[in-house]
Amino acid sequence: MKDNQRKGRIEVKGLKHTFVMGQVDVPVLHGIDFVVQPGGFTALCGSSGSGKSTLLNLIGGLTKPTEGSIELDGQIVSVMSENELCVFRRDNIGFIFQSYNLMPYLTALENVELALIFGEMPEEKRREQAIEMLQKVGLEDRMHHKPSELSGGQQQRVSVARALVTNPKVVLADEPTGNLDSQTGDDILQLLRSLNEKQQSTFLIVTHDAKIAEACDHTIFLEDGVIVKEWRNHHAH
Amino acid sequence: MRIKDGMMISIRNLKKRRGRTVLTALGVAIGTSAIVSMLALGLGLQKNAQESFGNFGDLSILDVYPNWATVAPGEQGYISFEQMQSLETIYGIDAVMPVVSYYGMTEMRLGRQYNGARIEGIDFTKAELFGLEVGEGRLADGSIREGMVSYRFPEEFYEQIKIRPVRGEESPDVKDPFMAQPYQESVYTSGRIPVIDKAVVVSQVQYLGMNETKKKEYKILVSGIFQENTMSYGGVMYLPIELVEEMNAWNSGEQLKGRGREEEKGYTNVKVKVSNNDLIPQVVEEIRLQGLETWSPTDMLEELNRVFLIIQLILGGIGSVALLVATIGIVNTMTMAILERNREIGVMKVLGASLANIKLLFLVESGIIGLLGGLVGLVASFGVVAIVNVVGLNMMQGQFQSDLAIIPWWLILFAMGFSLIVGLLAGLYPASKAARISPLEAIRNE
Ligand SMILES: Nc1ncnc2c1ncn2[C@@H]1O[C@H](COP(=O)(O)OP(=O)(O)OP(=O)(O)O)[C@@H](O)[C@H]1O
Ligand SMILES: [Mg+2]
Repeated sequence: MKDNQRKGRIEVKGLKHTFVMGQVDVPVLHGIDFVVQPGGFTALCGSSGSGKSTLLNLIGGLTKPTEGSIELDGQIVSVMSENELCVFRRDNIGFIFQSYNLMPYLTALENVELALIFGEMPEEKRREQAIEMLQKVGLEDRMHHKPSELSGGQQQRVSVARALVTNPKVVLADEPTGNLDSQTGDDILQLLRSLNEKQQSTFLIVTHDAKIAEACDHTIFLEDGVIVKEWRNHHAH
Repeated sequence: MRIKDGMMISIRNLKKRRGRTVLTALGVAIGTSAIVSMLALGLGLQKNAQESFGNFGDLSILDVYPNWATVAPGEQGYISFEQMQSLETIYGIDAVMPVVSYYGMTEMRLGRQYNGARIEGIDFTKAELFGLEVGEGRLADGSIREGMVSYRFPEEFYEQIKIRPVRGEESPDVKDPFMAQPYQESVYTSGRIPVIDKAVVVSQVQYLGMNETKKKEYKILVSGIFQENTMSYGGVMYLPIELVEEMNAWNSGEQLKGRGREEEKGYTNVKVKVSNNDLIPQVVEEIRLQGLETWSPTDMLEELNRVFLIIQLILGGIGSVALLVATIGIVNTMTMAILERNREIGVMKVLGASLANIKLLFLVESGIIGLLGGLVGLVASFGVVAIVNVVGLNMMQGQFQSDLAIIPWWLILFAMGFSLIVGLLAGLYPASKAARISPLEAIRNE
């Protein structure tokens, strides 16, 4: 029953990616296959330079793979045109970055609203949803502050709210706790975990932290562009 | 994305870089005001020219004279018959009519009323072509017994009243022999005296010696009155050419044998009717090529237009260069904005902004810069026009009836539309450049 409401099944098949830098080809991913179950909370681990961010960005449609396919609930992301990818990202993906990537001159509320501005949602509804989302991340009293007036943890909460306000199928977080101290990082992780339960969307989180990896339902280890280990925890659910 | 939200974001971005926005818009303002001033001047001059044309009356009738440069000093120049005939062959000339003016003294009398009108000899059959249309009565038959008068003629009669000075009111200078004598005073008759079918006595007077005068009288039946027109001013009595020639001959003591003396030498003045106003400059040139002289207000207007064209070209040049620089300025400002906002654009694309959304944001921005510049430029050009009108009118010393430069409502719309288009065109390249930014690259560089 519950599984039917969950959304965001990711299927990656034979994924290869090579960056072309002028004359030099930089192969990064060498054939990746995995499936993420809808509503799952998955960790993507691996050493620096192993290709975690690249994989995440490919799934989020920020760039197109050299080879292989990526599917999200049956939509084939890897064949979409640039314009289709824009709409795809808007409607299906929520991104969370290590460095927050908030607009410095916008308030927390405006930053969250920005994720809804590229659709056709009326202004009042947009505002209403953004406020509701900020309440969920515990920032109702900081809504009208600019990022520079917020702590790192608070800024990351704003960016979490921005990623989730569109109710996306998939939330992609690239080292969301990387810039935070361990206590604040734990809080953010806690928040992501609870939102994952509430919203029933799939979370894919890149992390170095073994502690985080252990707390996930599903962990994928990447090394030099290939999956070297993968396990599913059943203790979480 | 809704247009309203796009506008909001763009305006916020412009406000963030207020100084740069204002400077960039200033370029557009200079260009717009130069172009608007140029057009305003052009429109004003055109309007003035048209009004002046109206004052000159029928432009299609030209007066042709002998070329004085070819005539010995003190001699009378003539347009020969051959020359008249070749005038008739000029393309654009519909009719040629000699005009013979009477040079001597005359006295015109109708009963006790006198009139001091001029006398002109014309060809009545061609009168209508030359703007003389019968207003009352009928056209003269062309015989030497009939004539016609101008519209003002019947208003310009006067009576000679003999006045005898009253005793005691004489001049203190009693030695003056004329003062005590009765003298005549001319008193103008008010209203129009009926002249049609009346015989006006036209007498030529020649003073031969101290008290010796010679007179010759003609009885002229006035067949009709011409309509008022801008061709001739005041009172004129129109007579057949032959009669005026005869009067001129009598006046100079010459004897006419057979047909007129003028016929041998030609005429001093010939009128020419041009079929179409557009052909006037061309006809004027042709007439001059034939060794004759003529003048048309179009000459003066052409000369003026040349001067004003230069002014307009200078203004237009300044405007175009300024606008070109302004356009480059906008492109530059927008390109800089892209570099500065690379990351923001990347984030917006990550959040799902489409290529069209990003383009819209940048086009709205550059469009607003253009429009802002246009608005300021328009205000400035109202200032320029006001200065031109004050300074220009002083310099022109009443040659113009109305303002030298005018800004009609459509020019305001044109200026706004034009500056908006300049802004949008300048934004086209930066907008597509911004839209092409890779979100991955943009958020990668930290
Ligand atoms: N845009 C790019 N152009 C060229 N090479 C790239 C680009 N992005 C990443 N790479 C290269 O691809 C490899 C994998 O990079 P990626 O960022 O995916 O690693 P990562 O696992 O996320 O590492 P980290 O933990 O340090 O973030 C690296 O060697 C990197 O230099
Ligand atoms: Mg990374």
